[in-house]
Formats: sequence, C-alpha cells, structure tokens
Amino acid sequence: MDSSERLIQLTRQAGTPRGRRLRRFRESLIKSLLFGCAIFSVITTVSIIVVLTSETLSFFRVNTSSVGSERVELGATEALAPDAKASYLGNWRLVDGRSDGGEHPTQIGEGDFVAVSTDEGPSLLLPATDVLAATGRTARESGDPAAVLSAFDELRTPGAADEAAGLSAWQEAGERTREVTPVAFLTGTSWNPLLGEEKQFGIWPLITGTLLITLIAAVFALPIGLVTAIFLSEYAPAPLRGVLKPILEILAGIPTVVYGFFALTVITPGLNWLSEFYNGLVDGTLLFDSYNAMAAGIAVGIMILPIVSSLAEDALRAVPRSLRDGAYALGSTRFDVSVRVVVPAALSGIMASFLLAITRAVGETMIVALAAGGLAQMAYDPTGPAQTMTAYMVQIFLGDAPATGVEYKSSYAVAAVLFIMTLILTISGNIILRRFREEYE
Amino acid sequence: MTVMDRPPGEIHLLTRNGERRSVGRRRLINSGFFWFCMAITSTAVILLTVLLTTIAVRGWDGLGMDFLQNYVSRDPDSAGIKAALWGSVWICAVCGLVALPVGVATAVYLEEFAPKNRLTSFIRTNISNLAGVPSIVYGIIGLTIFARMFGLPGIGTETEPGFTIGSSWHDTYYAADGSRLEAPLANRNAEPGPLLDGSTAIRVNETDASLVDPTALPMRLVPDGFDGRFAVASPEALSVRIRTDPDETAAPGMLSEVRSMNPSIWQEATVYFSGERMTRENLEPAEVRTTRWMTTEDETGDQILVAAPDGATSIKEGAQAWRLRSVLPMITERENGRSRRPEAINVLRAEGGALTTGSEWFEFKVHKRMPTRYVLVEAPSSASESHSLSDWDPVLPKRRNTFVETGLEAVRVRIVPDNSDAEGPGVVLASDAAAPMKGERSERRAWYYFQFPFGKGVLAGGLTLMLVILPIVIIASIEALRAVPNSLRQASLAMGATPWQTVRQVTLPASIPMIMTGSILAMSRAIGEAAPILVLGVALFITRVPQNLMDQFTILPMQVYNWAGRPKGEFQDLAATGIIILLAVLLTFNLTAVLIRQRLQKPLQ
Repeated sequence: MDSSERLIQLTRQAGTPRGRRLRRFRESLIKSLLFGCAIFSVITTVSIIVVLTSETLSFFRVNTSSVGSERVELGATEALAPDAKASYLGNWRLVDGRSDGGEHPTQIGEGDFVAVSTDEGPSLLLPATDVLAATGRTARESGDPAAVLSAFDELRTPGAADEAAGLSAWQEAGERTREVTPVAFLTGTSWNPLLGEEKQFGIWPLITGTLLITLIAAVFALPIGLVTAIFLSEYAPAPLRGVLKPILEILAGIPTVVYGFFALTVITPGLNWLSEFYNGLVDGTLLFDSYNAMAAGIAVGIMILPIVSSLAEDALRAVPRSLRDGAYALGSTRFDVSVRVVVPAALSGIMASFLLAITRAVGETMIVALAAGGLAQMAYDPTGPAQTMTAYMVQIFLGDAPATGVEYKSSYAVAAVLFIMTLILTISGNIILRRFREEYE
Repeated sequence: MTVMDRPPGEIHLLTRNGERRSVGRRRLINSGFFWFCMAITSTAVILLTVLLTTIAVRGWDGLGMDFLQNYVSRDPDSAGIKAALWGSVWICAVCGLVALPVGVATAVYLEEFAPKNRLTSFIRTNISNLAGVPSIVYGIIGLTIFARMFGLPGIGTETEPGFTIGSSWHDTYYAADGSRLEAPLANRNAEPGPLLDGSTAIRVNETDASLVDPTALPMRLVPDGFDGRFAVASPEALSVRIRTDPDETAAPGMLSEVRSMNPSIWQEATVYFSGERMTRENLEPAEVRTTRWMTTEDETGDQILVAAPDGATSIKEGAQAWRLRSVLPMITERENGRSRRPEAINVLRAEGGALTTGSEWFEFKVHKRMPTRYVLVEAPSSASESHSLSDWDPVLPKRRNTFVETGLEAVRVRIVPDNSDAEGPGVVLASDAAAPMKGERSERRAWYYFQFPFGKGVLAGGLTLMLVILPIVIIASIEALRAVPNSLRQASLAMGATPWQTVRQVTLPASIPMIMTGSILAMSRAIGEAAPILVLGVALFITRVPQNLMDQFTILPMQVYNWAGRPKGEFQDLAATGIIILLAVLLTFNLTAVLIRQRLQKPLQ
C-alpha cells in the first residue's frame, strides 16, 4: 500500500467521540509500553552497577586465608551450629581432601587448623590461631592442641548473651588478619589468586597485561586504519571502494574466536618464522612462546582495524566539501588536501574512532583467552605470555573455582575495574564524537 | 617575495613558512602517497585472504554430513557439532525474540514519542555507553541475574530450583530381563518405596539411558571394555586365586590363594565410578574417600582389584577383592582442572599399554557425589556388607552392575508390558526385593519444562546475549527511523492520525527494511559471540540437543574455542571446520541483509 493511500485510510477512520476516547486510551497505553522498553536499557545499566558493586564489596569481605584448595570463610556463622564438632588437625595441608603432612606439632602455629564439622554440609576449617585469638589467648600461651578445642567450645557455647560477642570477635579476628583491602587490590603488583598458600590480589599485573595487548593492537591497527580511511575517503576510485568496503565489513563481522584461532595457528608460527629468519634461533629455542602477547595483540589489532577505518572514514567524509574545494582552489594536490586540510579538520572524529576502537581492544576476550596464555605478571614482554582482565575472568568461570570462593568473587572486582575503564573510554569517545558532529552541522 | 616575483612557467605553492616546492615534487609526493595508501589498505585484503585460506586449508577435509550430525567426542575423527549447531539456533531464537521487539520499541519511543527532556537524553547516552561495555561483563550480569537470580533466599539454586513446571521424578529399578523401569514419584523428596506387585512403572528403552560413550569423556586411561584393564608400571607376575561361588562369575570375593607377592610403590589415581553423564557440575566431589587398591590378575586371567588395609605392602590370603568386570573404574582427569592431581598422570601416561600381568598399588580415590549415583569401592568392613555385595543379581545387565552401590539390594521384578507400547506404563507382577536403588532417582523433563531460577540453560544464555545485542539493535533502529523523511510524519498527523497510528502505518513500514538489515547484522554478532556464554559456565561436553528452555547447551563459537585451545593438531583442524560452518552461517545472514537492503529499500525522498 502506498503511503498516500494509507493517509486517506486514516482520515476515514476518524470516528465518533467514543472511538476517540478509546483511541486516546490506547495511545497512552502503547506509549507507556514503549517507555517501559526504553527504560529497560536503564535497568540494564543499573543492574550492571548493582551486581558489580555488591559482589566486589563482598569480595573485600571474604576471608582469603586458604589451605590448598579449601577456603576458609570466617563470615560463615552457620558453622557454629550447636551440633558443630571441632577437631584439631594440626598443620594439615588439604590437597584434594588428602592430608600431606599429618604430623601433629606440639606447638600451635600459623597454618594449623581446626576442622569444624556439622551434620549437614561440608566441614569448615578455621585457623587455630584465630580461634585462640578470639578467646583472648595466643598461640604461645597455649601451645597445647587441646587449648584450641577448648577455645572453640568456649566460642561455640559461651552462653546466650556472650554468643554474639564471641562470634563477632571471631569474625573480626579473621577479617583483621586476612582481608583483601581495596587499597591492596588497587595498588598491589602481584596477582596470584589460584596457587599457593598465600593468595595475592593486586590487580596491576592484569591491568598491565591488558594495556600491553591493547598497545600492541593500537600500534598495529590505528595507523593502518587511519591510512585506510584516508585512502577510502579521499583517493579510492568508486569501483575500488566498492571492493574494499565489503572486505572491511567482512573483517568486522568475523567472530573474535576466529581471530583467536588465527593468532594461535598462523600469527605465532609466523612471528617465530620471521624472528628465526632474521636472527636465527636464540639458544635453540623459538623467540615467541606458543602463547604470547604479541600474537594476541596483533590479532586484536586486526579485529579493531575495520572499526578504526570505518569510524575514521565517517569522520573524514563529514568534512564539508567546501573545505576541500577551497584547498584545491589554492593549488593543493590531493595529498595536501587530505593530509593538511581534511585530516586536521576531522581530527576529533578520528580521535573518537581511536578511543572507541581501544575500548573494544580492552574488552576483547576470546582472542586473549586463546592466544595470550594465562600468566599474570608485570613483565611487559611481548614474546611471553600475558593475562588480561578478561582472560582472567574466563579462567575463573571456565575453571573449577567454587562459586563461593574468593577467586570467584575476585573476578567480579576485576570486572568492575574493566567496566569502569571501558565506560570512561566510551563516554569520552562519545563526547568527542558528538562535539565533532556538531562542528559541521 | 610574492607570487608575482616568481619566474613565469614555474608554478610554486607558497607554504606557511615561505618554503617553495616545485609542482613536480608535489606531484611525486602525491602519487607516492597514493601508492603508500594503496599498500597499507591492501593489508586488510591480504589479512582476510590469509585468514580464509588458512581456515579453508585446515578445515576443508573435516567438512561433511558426519561433522554436522555427530556430537562432540574425544575422538577427532568422529567429532561433530550437532549439539553446538542446535544450541546456537536455540540461543539465537531466544535472543532475537526478546531483543528485536524491545530494541525496536525503544527506538520508536526515543524517536517518535519521547519528550525532549533530561530523561530522554540520559537514556540516549546510556544506550550509546552500553554499546561500549565489553560483552564479558554482560556475561557476568547474565550469570548473576538470569542463571542465579542473585541467589536470593527461598528462590532455590540452579540445581535445586525453588519452582518448576513440567518435571517428574522417578525411581529406577531393573526388571528381570535387564530393562530399566521407572516408577513415578510424587516429588523429588518422596520416600523411596518398595516396588510391589501392582505398582506402576514405565519401561524405558535402553537407548534412553543417560549413559554416554566412555570415549567421549575426558579420560586419560580408558578401561578395556568393561573388564577394566589398567596400564601397570612394573610387570611382575602374581598369581591369585579368588574364591567365589561357582555360579557367580562377576562377584567380589575373598582371596584364597596367593602364589607370589610383590610389594611395590604406592600409586594413586582418580577414579570416578559413575554412569552419569559427566558435566562440570557433577564432577565436583562432595566427598572424597581414599582406599588403596592393587590391580592384579587371578589365575583365570581376569583382572581383579584387591583392597589393601592401611600400611599393607603385600597381598595376603583373605584380602578383599573384586573382579574388575564388576566395577567399571573410569580413570579420568579433569580437562581444565589443572589443580587436580598431576601425579596421577605418571601412571596413566602408559595409555594403551594394557598389561595383563603385573602389579602395582593404586590408591583409588572414590569421589562420592551427592546428587548422582555412585559406587563406593571400599573394602567392606563387615561380613554382612560383603554379603550384600556378593548378592548382586547376576541377571542384571553387565552395564548396570557397574553402577551399583554398596549396601544396595538388587531388585528383581517382572513387569507386564502394555501390549503395544514398549514405553508405556506396565504393572509390576512379581518383585523379589523390596528396596529401590538408592541414588537412582532421576528426573524427566517435559518440553515445556520451566524452572526458577533459570540455571545455565538456553533461556539464561539467550537473555544474556540479548543484553549484548540490544544496544546494537536500538542504535540501528534509531538510524532507520531517522532516515524516514519528516514530511511523511507531518502529512499523517495533519490528516488527523494519532502518533501511534502514524508510527504503525507510516513510519515503521517505511523504515522496516533498514531495521531488518540492522537487526540481522546484530543477530550475526550474537551468533559469533562466545565470551558471555563462556562466562555463564556452560559445560563443554554436551552430547545432546537442547530439549527445553532450561536445558544445557553449547554454541558454535564455544565449540570452536574448545577445540582451538587444545594442543593436538587434529582438534585444531576440527576448530577450522567449525569456523567454516560458523562463517557460512554468518555469510547467509549477511547476504540476507544485503538482499533485503536491495529489494525492499526504496528511496524515500
């Protein structure tokens, strides 16, 4: 049906007063329904913020003392059910439920635990020194293992009035000693959440890993993307443009997991071939590890290349024709027009395209999870493995970390940092983009 | 010096700092820059060519109907992507059904109805910011909100949902002919009752059994059939006679005669005695028990499993022993759990070397898992327990014998089948034993099964992806609506149409081709997106097409990720084949978008 026919039909429908009232009611109903849909995106944002904030806060509350793969959570008060039974274990190291060093020391020290078992649920380990500390004793005063058990009993049944006090004393003892503080999280330079007795949650190795890969990607993609954009916007004849644009669109549509595969099976061997070709083998080994930051960075670069080129091309094309004509009238060549007139005029748009592309690079997951390895370190070595924030999250959610564990919670804290980083980048990119749009309208 | 001063015939451009450059040189720079741009731009072309060539070369051979029809497997030759393909279809259907209406409605509101106020501009800003949020963050949100529902108290958990529709519970029994019977229960927590004469039970086809191909499981050592032969390190002969009742061949018994003994190193291995489908969830041990074992051979050549008391270094007469065909030990190692006993690998590396003579102490850890059936291979501590074990009904099919618990009393029932329907309910005619099998409680889910919270099923996955593509759909739809000339709207309103009538009959029809193009491109993004689904924590080995909205699933990019991440070359070839399929699907989508753009889009001005 043609638009004009539709209009005629509409005029016929203008009806009785009752029909008009009904229609007005329907209008407002539909409008509020549409408004509800529009509000959905706001709800999404709010829930992202709520989930990340609450889980990050609970990460800072969770106690991180751990023995092997068992975690101790002093916040879990249900462990102190009346039917809880404690037994002193002494220096146990639980590795998959088996004790390695079952030697019972006569003196209680760090690393000694009290096992608390209830009828329901798995048993819980509590640091013996904390149990003692909660009742005001120290390990030195009461070296006897029996003292730990009596201290536990004291905590468990201190009488109705004292119970709460005992519990909180216990909790405080635990939290004071082993809490992950926001400061330690944001300033720490050691990230070691999965292995070892001492878990370390300093996020900087993840941030530097992310930045390293983003930097490699940016160095690769931004110049190429800009030059491609200049070529497409200023130089390329229409038939060539008709070929190049779809190719870039295909590159933009390829799933990132494919780029990860590409990095793993082509880029890394290619890099090694190149380095061998130029330098020969160093100590008989290949220069690039099979998982390395360089290949992942280049693959991320390939992924963001079409983003840079298409956004930058938009910016270049938005420069008014009159500017170009003016430059040509002054006797400029095409090169002069593009590089000295159009690019400076579109600079803010180009910057915005860079920022948005970098945002994508920072948040990229599958490529780094496949090709960058999983070693969180502050090495800045492109030939070795690196771990980004996203790759760490993948490691946690794909691995076997229990949902209550501190590693698991830590991924929310990492996600919060990632979210804030990308949000800042996106907002500034969008602001620049809007400014620049207004410039020529 | 001014332009006029220059000698005629030579034209110069006067640059800002008075530098003079000849036309020739500038032309040279210009054409040089052209070729430089050309070379750089061709990088993209070269990259795409190399990428597609690599994938085609590596993946082409694996392409075929088998690849589309087979499920994932440990064996690269027989592995396929059926589950992933169907999972992708399900996920995209859910995702599209939610994201497209909501996205278009949001765009319509913002473009046609929204008043110009702060709220509207906030929503606009918010949408463009959401488009920049990494998809993995949406994965975390989806996991917390959709799969877990914040873990709110009273709402239940993923595995024990607080609210379900379309699920029924059964206890499993075995009939005298070995077929499986399922007796319906009122609810999941109903007391297991005896299967008496007159009870109702459903005969289940063997094909319906939830057993998976053992080769499809992550395993280091695959037992040789059901005889369970192990690779053993130090082959020294040991002859053992195991005393059993003459008519029972598959029963455990006591060692009655030991000809030679060989103390050797204690070894340990992880053994999952389970017939259940192994997923990431139910591999989690709820309890770990360790018992020391030795495999050896009795004089008939059967592999037997001898229990050793603590501290024992040799086999003595009277030790407890089982024939290995009566327990199916599956020695497995978690795929991703690096923390899980690397020491076991030393023993298990001898894969394929099925030594039949020799002895080695194993320390078997039996992972007893709460929700699934399990076998405790632990030396019975009392004579009565040992008796009940040796009482295993030899009529039970071999496969079933392997999944029986300690203390379990076998059931021998006869069932009268419905005349025609093999799967229909029947009535138990005669039953020998009263106690049902513990841990054999199973759940059947109808196609409309629904649970709260959603768990890590299709619905949660689709909704998570919906969050990812919603901003893209909205932005594309807004662009489409903006492209409709204002004169059309004004004409419609001038004719007395209400705003909604204008939208429905004028604006939307005019912009629908562009909206469809944008939506299809957004959907193709959803198909390729793996990160949010990966965070959701779907199991990697899925050998089933989703049956309902809450069912487990995997998707194409996840499958590709799983294969690409393996060191073995064959699996990377499989990944390449999977990528070919993925790219083919994406190409179809993009072609559709292009066709729609060409066919339907008429110039509006």
